[in-house]
Amino acid sequence: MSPQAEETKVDSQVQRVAALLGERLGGHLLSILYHPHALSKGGLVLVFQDDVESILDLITEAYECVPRDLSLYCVRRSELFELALPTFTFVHILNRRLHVAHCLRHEAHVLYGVDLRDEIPPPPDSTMLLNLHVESCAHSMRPFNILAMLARREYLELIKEIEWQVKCLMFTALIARGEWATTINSIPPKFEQAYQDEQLLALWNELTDLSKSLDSTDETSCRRSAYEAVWLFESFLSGLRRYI
Amino acid sequence: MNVTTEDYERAVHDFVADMHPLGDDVVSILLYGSVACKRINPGKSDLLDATVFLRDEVFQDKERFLKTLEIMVESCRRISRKGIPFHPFFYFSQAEASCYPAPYMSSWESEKTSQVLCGEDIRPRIRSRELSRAVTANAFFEGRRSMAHVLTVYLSREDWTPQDRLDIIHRLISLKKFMTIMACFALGISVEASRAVVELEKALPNLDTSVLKRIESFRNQTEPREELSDLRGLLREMLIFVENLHDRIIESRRTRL
Repeated sequence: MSPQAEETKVDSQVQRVAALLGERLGGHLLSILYHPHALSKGGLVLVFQDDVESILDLITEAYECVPRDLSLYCVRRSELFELALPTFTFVHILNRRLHVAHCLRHEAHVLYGVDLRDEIPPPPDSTMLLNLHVESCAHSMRPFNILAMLARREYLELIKEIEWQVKCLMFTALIARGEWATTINSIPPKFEQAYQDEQLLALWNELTDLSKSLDSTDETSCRRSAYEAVWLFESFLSGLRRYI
Repeated sequence: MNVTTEDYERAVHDFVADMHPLGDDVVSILLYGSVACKRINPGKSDLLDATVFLRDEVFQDKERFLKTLEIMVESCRRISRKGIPFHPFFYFSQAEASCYPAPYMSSWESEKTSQVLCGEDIRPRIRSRELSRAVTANAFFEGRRSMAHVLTVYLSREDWTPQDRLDIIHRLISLKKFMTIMACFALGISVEASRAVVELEKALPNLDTSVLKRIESFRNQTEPREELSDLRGLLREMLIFVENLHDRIIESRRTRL
């Protein structure tokens, strides 16, 4: 765990899930690690022995025990390195998975078996991570969220989605500065402090004001706000590119 | 409604016409995927695998950007009403052509896999960065966890709803498309989606790809006839295929080192 980390108490539901997994998969399971994550309920890493015969059956059983809002990573011991590999993927996956190596490095709890934390390689370079996040976000958001949701007139949902994506980008940007956030609400103030970028801050404030002042019964105004939010999103992406 | 190849071609033509009011702000419109390759499977192939490159100034001027966005959204609405499976197109600034996501580069490398619909042929200027190329080689590992492993939830469930069944079919088709191309990237082979299976078979001799053919034939049925037990078998077989592919990739990378 990094020196600046404040250790979080592991949720009792997560502990119950880990106990159940241990009970059902025990013979094949070497370790269960849990990491909290500011943007989600965190993730469980199940490490199986290298010589397990049918990993697919074990993974099937594991997914039966784990609630959907918890991320689940199933690997053999020799595959632990795969968790630290940076990758390009769709943004809805990326937001949950991009930070896993950093999360494990920052705060990982051993909930079952052997402590294998040292076998996970160091996370990828954090500036590279921001670069990757911005690229993937622009690529996925524009067609699959912006155009798709505006075409379906899902204005309120789009504004919420943009607000969420900007928080996710801020979190990665924080990591790029060697900072960390443990809760979603602490991300914007920490970002503000770390970057002290008036332009980005103004864009974020405009976005949150927009979201707060929405009148969901007035479609014309929601539409205007959604288009405005897209402009703010593009401006935020472009401002963030100065740091990569 | 029965759609024909001509309906696809007409939709692409209408899309280009929709973009005309943007004038010089559109630098280029490129088409890729099954329509560009002339491999349209009417009713199954989706629209619109296209990328619109806009002048950089569009992203710097709010009014210009919002006007552009409105025109693109209106075009999406029109195409989505044509009865053809539809997803919106990509849009980028001209400057972003020099940092294009590496997984999508292969489409621009040949006249056979892409077409210029309008504006200049920007394809020689589309580049990906070293970083993007490097991380593309890792996409398979994340795909295995986030696209394949998650599907095991269906294996343990006895009763599938009709919606589950549709979801499984849709995801199997995605798995076939993405895992094979990501496997090629993991092996250092840059390839366009339609060539991925052939290249994999070459790179990994004796790899049993029969499940991919079964998924393809299943996709091409006009009326889904597959029984529930067959679909369950197909799902399991595909997930085993991904695991085998993973092991072969690791082995191949180890040998290369």
